Amino acid sequence: MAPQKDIIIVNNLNKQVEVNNGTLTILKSISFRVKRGETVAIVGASGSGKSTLLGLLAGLDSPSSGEIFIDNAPLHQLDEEERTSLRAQKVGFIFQSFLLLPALTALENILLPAQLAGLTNAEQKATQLLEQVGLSDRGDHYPNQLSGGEQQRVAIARAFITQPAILFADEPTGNLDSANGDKIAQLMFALNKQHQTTLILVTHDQKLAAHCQQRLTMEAGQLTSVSPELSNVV
Amino acid sequence: MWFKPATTMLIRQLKRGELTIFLLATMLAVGSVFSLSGFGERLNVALVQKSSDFLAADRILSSAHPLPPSLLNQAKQLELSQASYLTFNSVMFYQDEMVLTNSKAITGSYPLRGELKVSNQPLTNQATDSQGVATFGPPQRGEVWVAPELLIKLKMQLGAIVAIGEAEFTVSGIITFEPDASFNLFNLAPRVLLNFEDVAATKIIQPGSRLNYNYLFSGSEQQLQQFYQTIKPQLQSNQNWQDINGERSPVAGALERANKFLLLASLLGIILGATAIHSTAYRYSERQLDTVALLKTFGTGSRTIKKIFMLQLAIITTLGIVSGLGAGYALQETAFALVNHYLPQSMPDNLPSISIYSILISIATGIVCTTMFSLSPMLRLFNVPVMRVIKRDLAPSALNRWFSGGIFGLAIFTLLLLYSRSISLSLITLSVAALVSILLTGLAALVIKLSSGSRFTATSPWHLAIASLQQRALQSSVQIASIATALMLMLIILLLRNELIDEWQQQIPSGSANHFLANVTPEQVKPIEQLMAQYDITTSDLYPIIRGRVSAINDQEIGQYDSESSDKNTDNRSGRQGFGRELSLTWRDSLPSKNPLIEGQWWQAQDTEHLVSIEAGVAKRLAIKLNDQLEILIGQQTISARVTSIRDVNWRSMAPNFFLILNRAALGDMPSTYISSFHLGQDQHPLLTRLLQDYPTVSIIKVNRIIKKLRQIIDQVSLALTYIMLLVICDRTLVLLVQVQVSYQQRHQDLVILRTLGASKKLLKRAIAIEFLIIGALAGIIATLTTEVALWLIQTYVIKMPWSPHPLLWLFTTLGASLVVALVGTKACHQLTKLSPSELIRNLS
Ligand SMILES: Nc1ncnc2c1ncn2[C@@H]1O[C@H](COP(=O)(O)OP(=O)(O)OP(=O)(O)O)[C@@H](O)[C@H]1O
Ligand SMILES: [Mg+2]
Repeated sequence: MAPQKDIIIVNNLNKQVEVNNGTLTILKSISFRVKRGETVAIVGASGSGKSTLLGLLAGLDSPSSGEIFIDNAPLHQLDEEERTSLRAQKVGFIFQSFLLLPALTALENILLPAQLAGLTNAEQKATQLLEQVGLSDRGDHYPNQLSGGEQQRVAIARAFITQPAILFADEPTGNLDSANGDKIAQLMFALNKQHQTTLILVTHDQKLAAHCQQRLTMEAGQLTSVSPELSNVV
Repeated sequence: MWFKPATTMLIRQLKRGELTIFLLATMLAVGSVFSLSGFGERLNVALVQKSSDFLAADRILSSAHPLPPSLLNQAKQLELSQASYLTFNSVMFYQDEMVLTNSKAITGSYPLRGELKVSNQPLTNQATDSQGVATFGPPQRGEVWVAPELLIKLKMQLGAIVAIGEAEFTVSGIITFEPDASFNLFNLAPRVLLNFEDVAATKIIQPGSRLNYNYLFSGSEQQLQQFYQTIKPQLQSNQNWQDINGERSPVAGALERANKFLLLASLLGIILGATAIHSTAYRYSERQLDTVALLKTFGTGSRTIKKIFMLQLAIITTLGIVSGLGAGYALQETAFALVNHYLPQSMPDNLPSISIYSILISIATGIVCTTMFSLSPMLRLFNVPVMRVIKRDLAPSALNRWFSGGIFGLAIFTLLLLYSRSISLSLITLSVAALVSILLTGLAALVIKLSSGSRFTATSPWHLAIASLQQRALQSSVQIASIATALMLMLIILLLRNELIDEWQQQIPSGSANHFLANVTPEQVKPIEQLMAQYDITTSDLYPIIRGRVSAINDQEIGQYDSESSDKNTDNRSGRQGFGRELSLTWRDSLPSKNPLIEGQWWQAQDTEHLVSIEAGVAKRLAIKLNDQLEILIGQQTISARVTSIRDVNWRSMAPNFFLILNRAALGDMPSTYISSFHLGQDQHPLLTRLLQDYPTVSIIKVNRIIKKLRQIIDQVSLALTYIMLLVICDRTLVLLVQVQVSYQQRHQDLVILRTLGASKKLLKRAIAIEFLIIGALAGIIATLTTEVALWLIQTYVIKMPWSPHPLLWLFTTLGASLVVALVGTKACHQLTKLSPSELIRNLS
């Protein structure tokens, strides 16, 4: 069994998809580990398979072969419903395109996952988070009344409200200018530290990647380098 | 846990107008079903009530014997109003004069429907039916009321003492209007009304007399039905239950067709409404893909997600149904207000209330529409891959086409079945609709494909518009097809309505004969015509009348043939005398109008062989074929005539109708009397008195009041049809709007790209306007084309009348459709073109 301190263990992960003229291998024998509370950046060229990997780690998709353990749970053996409930308990998300529900206000967007999970004093937490992301006076604004950076801040607050053990972010600053991007990055790291969350992020931003404790570099579906080199990689 | 966010999301979406179209479409479907079914049903009830005047009751049970009291008690228990009458022929004596009369002995508050008018004063020169007062119930015992001509024929005044059989009566009133007076040219004895209690005293009724007891009932439709169901098993063969629909009157025909028209309009409306709901449900689910993907990412279980959307759907359905019922109710009330306003006093005072059935069927429509039409979009929605949150272009795989098509068809079929309550009608409508929509979509796709070839340049609005159409070829053709269908249905309903109304009006053209003269001897024909000429009146349709009886067919005696059915219809059903009895025969050189030949040929005036033309119904009943030889007994003489043609007779027409018409060779030399008809204007009534005084043996049959009433009813139905047509047109227009609105969303993305690429607002606006113009014009052309084809089919094969193209229709439909669609379309996209590129982008995400 995996030691307690590793929250994510990936062993020989493969992902293939059927395309019209055969099968396409997107991920090939990927293995790595992530310690609890660690910050990890997945970098690599466009099309190298970063998003696909992130999706597999978060249980959004299932691998063709290989193993993924999330906090000791064998993700690769779970069916869709089980993965869903695992996500509800352990996982938070930040997306490149923010994905706020346009019909809900900023505050309601933050509240939504907490309400769905049936958390107590969700309102209080939401207001608190809204304040932490510096938008306490914009709570009743709708997403289309917010700037991109502001929307992403709302999305960050939303990601933290369920106090997930792991936070996944796919190019969280990809749609933002560098000033706003930096702000978002700072905010993310600050909250991450405060909540002691494990953070896995995909990014093209070298500065952001440098900020992370571990960097996984992808190339054509394969993990080409893990830095700093980990002693316990199998 | 999920309830609160679900309702919050829904309320916000409602506020933001994202659900408006969906809601509107549901409301429309429910509203139009409710208003059409409700209006139709209430109109029908109102008109049937109105038409019941012709029966003087809602239902009549006629019987050759008195009914057992137990049966009448059942009616009493059901709280039906009752009355009855007995009719018999008898001779009335006054001093030295005597006349054959047709007596009607009444009980209870006859008439139960319509009004009986009696005057207790001598009549003036005014129109007869404008005099006298409405009266209910029989005269006092020992008194009679008589038809005006009896006073003249018997040379008596009000107050005279007359004898009928062995009893004596005082003439205490003149009948100026009898609601159920029959139009029977061959039963001419003037009417006498007396109290049923006095019948015994006359001693006219002997055992074995052939009699006709008529029991009148009125009450609610439900009570009447219930009563009929209880007595049905007890009815004997010589008892006959009648309602206004069984009447061979133009009213029954008008009602029947109006109902069919209404049903057709509603069925087509339902299909259109259904397609609108389907496409809006699809659009809606499409926009919810991100929400569902996001909820799944949050770890929301699929059951919870389903609950959330089911709740939302339930709320939308409820809102749609409630608002639809409200709107439908308002429409119905407006319709009735209009009809009532237009024709004062023509509707019964107490409007029939809204039927539970129409409410239920509307609610069912709402539920079927939202659930069944949302089913496949929703199933697809629930299947959205959660990876969509990362890979934005991931969409759920399309459902099996047969599955979703099957559900769609099933849903429409359910609706049709609910509405029409006829499996065959629903199946036919469904398959025609499917066929038409496939054809139309194919046609539209073809047109779009043909229009390709121009290169894309982003500088000309025309090119942009065409490129946009071609880029979404399938969507565009579906859109054009649905607009075309809506238009086509509108046109068919419009043209069909005109046909219907024309046909009704033709049945009773204004200025058509409203009086008939009968019993005119050959010597009287000339002087009567001269007298009429003094009043500027010309007579028409002069028919010789000879009484005779068919005694054998092809040498086979027919004797007591068909005596039973003649029993049922002793006196007052027009044109139904059985064949075993004496008939009124006539001879003619030419075929009477409205008597189309079904088989055989009409004769030449100079033919010397004895020939006869026979009415189709009786020919069928007695299995008479062409070239059969009929023996006809006329007085002491028997003639034999060969059947050379079989005619259809419109018994509904107010014209002399005959079972048998012979040729000049057969009857030309027989002694005969004549009947003829004429149109009497408002101020020509003194003529009637002159005629009666100068020619006491001649009978005058007035049908002016009946004709007036028929016209009123036909006008009313026409008006109602026009209203329904307007309603349908509004309905269709809304469907069009929905269609155009739907395309708004599709255009959003394109606009973003084009605007970002630097296309000017003006260019885009023009391109959009042109695109909608093209869509409208294509839809208009296709609609007119298909309408012409449909009308050609209907007119050639159904109504059998010559078809001619409607060139103006092409012009107006095409122009109108393109303008309206362009206007609505640009209006819908107006907002989009106004926004700056960055605002557009922001709205998009
Ligand atoms: N469902 C699929 N079908 C076919 N090909 C796929 C599918 N999913 C991913 N791919 C391919 O797999 C490769 C990796 O995709 P992925 O989105 O993971 O790349 P990425 O590293 O996130 O790129 P980017 O930095 O541009 O986001 C790409 O070439 C993509 O086209
Ligand atoms: Mg990616």
